[in-house]
This record gives sequence, structure tokens and C-alpha cells, in this order.
Amino acid sequence: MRIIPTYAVMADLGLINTFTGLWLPLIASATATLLFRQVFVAIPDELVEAARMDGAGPMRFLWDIVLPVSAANIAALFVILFIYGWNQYLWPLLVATNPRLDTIVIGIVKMIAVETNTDWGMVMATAVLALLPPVVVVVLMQRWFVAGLTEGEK
Amino acid sequence: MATLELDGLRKSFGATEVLRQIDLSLVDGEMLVIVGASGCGKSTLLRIVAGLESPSAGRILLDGRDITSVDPAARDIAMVFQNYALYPHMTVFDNMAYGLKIRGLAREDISKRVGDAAALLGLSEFLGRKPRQLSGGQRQRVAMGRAIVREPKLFLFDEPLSNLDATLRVHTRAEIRRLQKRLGVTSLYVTHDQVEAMTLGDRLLVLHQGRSAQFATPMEVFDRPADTYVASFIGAPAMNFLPAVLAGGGAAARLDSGPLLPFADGKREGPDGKALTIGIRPEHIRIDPTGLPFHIDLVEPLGSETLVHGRLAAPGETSLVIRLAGRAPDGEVLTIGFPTEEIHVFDAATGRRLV
Repeated sequence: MRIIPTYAVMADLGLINTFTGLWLPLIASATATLLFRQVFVAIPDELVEAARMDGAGPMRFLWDIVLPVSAANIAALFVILFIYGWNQYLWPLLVATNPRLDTIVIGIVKMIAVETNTDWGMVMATAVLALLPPVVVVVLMQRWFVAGLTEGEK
Repeated sequence: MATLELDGLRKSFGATEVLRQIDLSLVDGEMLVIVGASGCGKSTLLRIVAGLESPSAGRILLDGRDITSVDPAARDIAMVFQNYALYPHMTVFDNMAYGLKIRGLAREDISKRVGDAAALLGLSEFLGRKPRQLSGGQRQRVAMGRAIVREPKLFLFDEPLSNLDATLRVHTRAEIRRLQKRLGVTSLYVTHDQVEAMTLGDRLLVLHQGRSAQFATPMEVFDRPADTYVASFIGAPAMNFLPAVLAGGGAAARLDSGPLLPFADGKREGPDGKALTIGIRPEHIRIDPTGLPFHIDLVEPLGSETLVHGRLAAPGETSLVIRLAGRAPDGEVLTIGFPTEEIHVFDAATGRRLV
């Protein structure tokens, strides 16, 4: 249901058929907003006050304290959003008609377009290749991912 | 090296008055303990001095400089928080050094100051650790270290011992006092624990419902409490109170339970029959064969002494607690007397001490 308004906005901004149009709407994520809110709410007030007494202004506090403290959550969010973005099908289909902008998921589907003439070996190979980046991300970030979703404070 | 002066400080949150008119002044190197029950405004007072809250009225003068509207970091004040508020992702060294880095001190200077503070607190071997790898007592010392390295004019302690277990608390209490004396830094210390208040403070400020109930040395507060609230708050078990009226032209009090107690320290003003509250500490009540009968409800032996709970047989059945050296005598009834030189006289209407 977000698709139509999002498309309208992208069209107004002249971002149809551009890379920016592909990724920009995916930046606005309710999941991310919710997760970050939870993380920030869990930061004790005393930490903010201690930093104020140490002379750290708001930006300094963000960089020196908030970001490092929420590193695990940022990692978890990265994994979730990366996979979500990588698996996008409907949005790239709508916003990009230029073949140059096809994502790998779209690419696979286009390969099977002509049913009788499909090179299934090639399709399967592409599917495996498409699988690799998410797997690598998950494997590399697994430790952080679990920590970010399960640990509360610290 | 600094003096602190609070001048007519008030604070309201909406319609709720949290602090009403706090005036006090600290001399250089003094340790003032602010004590009171929870909700009395003591933490708010500390946070106002720290600059984390702004007062609704009044001024704060540090070394004669008005810092009422100065940014917390520029006040030259360091604070130790109740839960320590250590930065969880930084090592002990970085925790202590953070404020100095922001101030732009040279690297060697920072290392030296942090090294000195760590040595002073026995933290030298933990400098590379993260807070979560430390015990409660060690974290507490890191929090102290973070305050010390800044070489502030004023230390603020917000119930720094309340998260420690009992043994460690006694130890750390002595350590804080030793350190504060050695560094000679003027300090404000907030606590609800009367033992901390008595042992740590050069002077006490007893806060009650946002007002200063008494501002004096610990022994003065103990010996001459300004009102019944202070009298019941300082001392454990709490002071006993007995209803009485003024008698003998102001020279004595007649307890509602009968006996006449002449005042050992002079007359009190007021007409005979004026309602009084007589206070007497549990340890001052004596066993006296000619005294009042006292029914024992409960005996709590503490080894070196015994607490006896009970009530007077006479009208009113006032409950009392008595602290006796040694063991409790057998039987269900004691006869007790009140040494007149140990009694405290309060106005029953206002609760104020009658001198």
C-alpha cells in the first residue's frame, strides 16, 4: 500500500529509472526507527549527564558515546535491511524499466521469461550467485547480529 | 580549593515545590552531607549545583563566582553518580580521560593525571579493562577517578555507595573520607543513610520536604536536633517521643503517663499546660526501680546490646524502644526512668525544639 504514494513521490522528484530512485525509498524504514528508538531509550540518563559534565555537546555525545554503545544494534539492523533490500522484487520492477538498472533478483526472473527456451543451468547458477552476498553478510555479522537483538544495555 | 554558597535556592516542577529556600555556605575543603528521606529534594539540590537542572530562583556562588547559569562542563565541578554512569564501551583509562580529552589537554598531561589518580585509587592494573569486567567496588573507584582527574573545585557525590554490598560500603565510606581530606576538595555528598551522614560530614544539612530542617555538625544534630523530624531521622533506633505538658512555671514537663520531669537545663517559655513532645533516645532510658512500669512486647538481642520494644502501662500506652547494654532482664515488665539531663523538649504544635 506504500507503493503507490512512494512511486508518486519518486516520479515528482524525477527519480524514476535512476539508481537513487532504487535505493532511496528503502532508507526510510519503520523497523530501523523502532529499533533505534528502543536502543536510545535504553541509554541511561546518567550517561548523558556524565557526558554533559565532561563537556561533551550533543554531536560529540552522539559520536563518542551513542554510536559505539549501539554498534551491535547497528550491525543487526544492517543485516536485516541488507537482506530486505537485496530481496526486493516489486519496487525495482516498478521504478526501473531500464535494463541497466535491473537488480539480480529481477535479472533471474527475466531469464526465465521464455519458458521453453530457458537455460535452467544458467538460472540456477545465477540464483546461487545471488545467494552469496546475503550469506556472506550473515556469516560475518552473525555474532554482532545476535548480540544486537538479544542484549539490552551494554 | 573553593567555597560554595547557595543563596535562596528554590525549585518547582510545575506546581510542585521541590526545594523551598535553601541557603547555605561551605568553607574551603569542607564536606557537607545532605541527608533526608527519599523525595525530600536532596538529589534535585545536587543536580542544581551540578548544572543539570536550573533553579527556579536563587543563586549559586562557587568561589564567589556566580555559576547559576553556567554550563555544567564549565563550572569546574565533578560528580560521582549513583550508578557510576561509566561509558560502557571505553576502557577504564578512556573513561577517566574522556573529560580531559574534550578539554583539549595534551596527551602526556592526560596520561599523567589518569596514572596518578589510578595509583591513588589502586586501579593501575585495571586501566585497560572495560567497566563490565570490573566489580562493583572497582567501578565505583573508576567513577571517583573520573572526578579526581578533572581537579575540580567541587566534588558532588550522589549516593555513591548505595549500589555496594554492606561490607564494601563501610570500607569505601572510609576511603572516600580519607581521599576527600587528602585532596582537600570542597564536597557535597547526598545520602539517605544516616550512618554515612554522621561519619562523612563535617556538617550535615537535613532536608525535609524541600526545606532545610537543620544545618549543623553531625554531633550537634545528634545532640540538639532542631525538630522532631530531625530527632527521629538521625539515630537508630529512632528517638522515642512522649506526649507531655509544660508544668511548674516552665521548669518541668509532666508526662501524660504521670511523672514530672524537671528540666536540667533551664526553664522553657510558655504557659503551664502547653502541649509538649518529650524526646528521649533509646540508649538513654534507664532501668529504675522507682520508675514507670513498662510492658515488653519484643526483645531483639544484638550481642553487645539488646533492643527492647514495649509500651508504658500508664494512660496512652505509648510505645517505646529501649537500648540496654548487655542482655535483657527476665520478666515481662520493667520499670524505667528517664534521666532528665538526656531529654529533648519539643513544642507539640510545631515540632520545633524548645531550647
